[in-house]
Amino acid sequence: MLEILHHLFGAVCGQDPDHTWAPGGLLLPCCQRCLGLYAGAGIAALLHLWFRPQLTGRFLEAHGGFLLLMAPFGFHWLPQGPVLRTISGVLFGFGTFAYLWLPLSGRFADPGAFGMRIGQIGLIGRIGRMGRRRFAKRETFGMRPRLMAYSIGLAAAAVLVPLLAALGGRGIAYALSGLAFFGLAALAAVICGNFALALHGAVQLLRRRSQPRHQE
Amino acid sequence: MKTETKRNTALALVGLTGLSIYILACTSFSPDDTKVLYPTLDVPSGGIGIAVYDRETGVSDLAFLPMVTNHSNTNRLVPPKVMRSQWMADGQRILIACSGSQDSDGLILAVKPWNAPHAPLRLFDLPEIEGWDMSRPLCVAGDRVFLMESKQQILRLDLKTGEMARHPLEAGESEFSLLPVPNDSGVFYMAKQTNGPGMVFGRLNPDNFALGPLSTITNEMAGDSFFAYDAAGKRCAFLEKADPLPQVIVLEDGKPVFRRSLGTNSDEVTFANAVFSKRGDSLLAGFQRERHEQPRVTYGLMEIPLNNQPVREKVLISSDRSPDDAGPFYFQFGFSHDGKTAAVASTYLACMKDGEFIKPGDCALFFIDLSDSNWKVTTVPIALPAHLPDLDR
Repeated sequence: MLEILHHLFGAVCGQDPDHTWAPGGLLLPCCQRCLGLYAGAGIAALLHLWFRPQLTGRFLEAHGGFLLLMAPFGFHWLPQGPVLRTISGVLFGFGTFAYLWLPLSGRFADPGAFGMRIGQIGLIGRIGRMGRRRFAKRETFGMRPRLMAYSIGLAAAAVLVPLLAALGGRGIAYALSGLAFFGLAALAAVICGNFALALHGAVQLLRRRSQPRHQE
Repeated sequence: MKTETKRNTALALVGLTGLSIYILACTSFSPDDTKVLYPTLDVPSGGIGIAVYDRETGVSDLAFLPMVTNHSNTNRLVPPKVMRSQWMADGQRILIACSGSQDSDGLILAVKPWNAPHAPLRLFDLPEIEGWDMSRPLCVAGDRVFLMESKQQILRLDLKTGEMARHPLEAGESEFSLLPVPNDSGVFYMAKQTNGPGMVFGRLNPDNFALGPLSTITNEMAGDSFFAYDAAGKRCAFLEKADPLPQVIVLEDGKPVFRRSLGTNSDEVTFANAVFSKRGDSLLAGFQRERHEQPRVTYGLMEIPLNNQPVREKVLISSDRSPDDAGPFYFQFGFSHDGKTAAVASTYLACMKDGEFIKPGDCALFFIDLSDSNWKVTTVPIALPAHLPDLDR
């Protein structure tokens, strides 16, 4: 499995072995920062589907900050080790997924756009409904508990991904590789979704322009 | 609603742009994977110099060509006998080591800036260095280089200030050698065990010279064995003496975890340097194989899988003449940081036996694409001068 993932991540990651975690002696298929990015994006995808945090105001500002944070770390303006590299990747993954998810999130809430709510099908849908029901019991907090749960998930990801990569064994290596692959797939899916949305918008615009104007 | 849609679209574009920039920047992370240092021959002087080959443009530039005193001929300076070059971890400087004037144990170190025309070239003339091992890169930790000044003394030279610090080894610490850590991130050492027949592999503290043993190796190494290790120093591999044929052994924290036969006698194959592959599932080693028929000797790269898969060889050069003992010593591979390319120059082999050891067309810089299933080879010819330097002088 790891061999296939090595080939796959080779297209998007420099795979510098000196900057790659090796839990249990197994070299992961992407570097420390990319592991953070793709694992972070994967966890962010699950948290968005599960808790559906409101994508407005401070939430977007904070995630914009996560994207900007990549500049001082990515260009090596700041001294950093393996843990900081991974954490900067996790935050960047959360920021990237949130921004790419933004145009699609409204569509998933509206069954008319794609004909179904992807977030409500299968296991993910069941888990999501269960989570939302639990938080719905605390309606006095309004939307806050969902945001809090998302934030706890983000903080846990930023701590656990580098911690597990540094201390874990071979099983953790497979789990982190799988999570990174899931994150890569989630990012690919939202990018495709955005392109589909753009195409849909362009077709609608062309249709409107090609219709003859009614003269009253 | 329209404003919100526009905002969402703009922010999604920001996310997509950020991700695209990140991915493009990550694949060209390391500057020294785009440029390769190799020893070349300078046609006007006939000397060996250090050149930089740019893999993107395919252009080579001669970067360094020193000349030292030749005591047998006072009318002409000559290039040093051997040179070794390496990129420093920042990818902006080249560290070059070459032997000093003839009949001396001196060593000249040069730090040449790359792509920084206003930065100075720094030269360090070290009069007595007994233990320079040209077969390995120099041991660098940050801006400090570590050398064995004698069998019992380590020298630390600060490449920024020129400050030197010496550390005498204790009486029990014998057969001591320094080993480089990738990315100039420290120094390993290998020393004979104080109270036993084994060897101790450990990490040297670059600040106070304290020795931190990582593992004890009690297995008997075969003659002309390689010694490969990972950047953490947890895993190492070498050729172990065994009957009837030597075996490759891999140790983790000093305990054997894998052993295999190469199916070949160590009299036939001599190894240059070896490293663990990027995935850690095989060893990559430069080799010289002597044969009883023509061609008498071949040079190339060997992949030794750390499982029961067969050994793979890529022969780059062959010769009909019997080799010198120094053959594999002159055939050192470099490996790119992404683990996808191996490079070797046959400059020194071309100078052996008055330039008749290998065919002129085989004097080249070779690149092996390790990501290609057939290990595709790219050859960059090195022009030969009329008179080749004499390595035996």
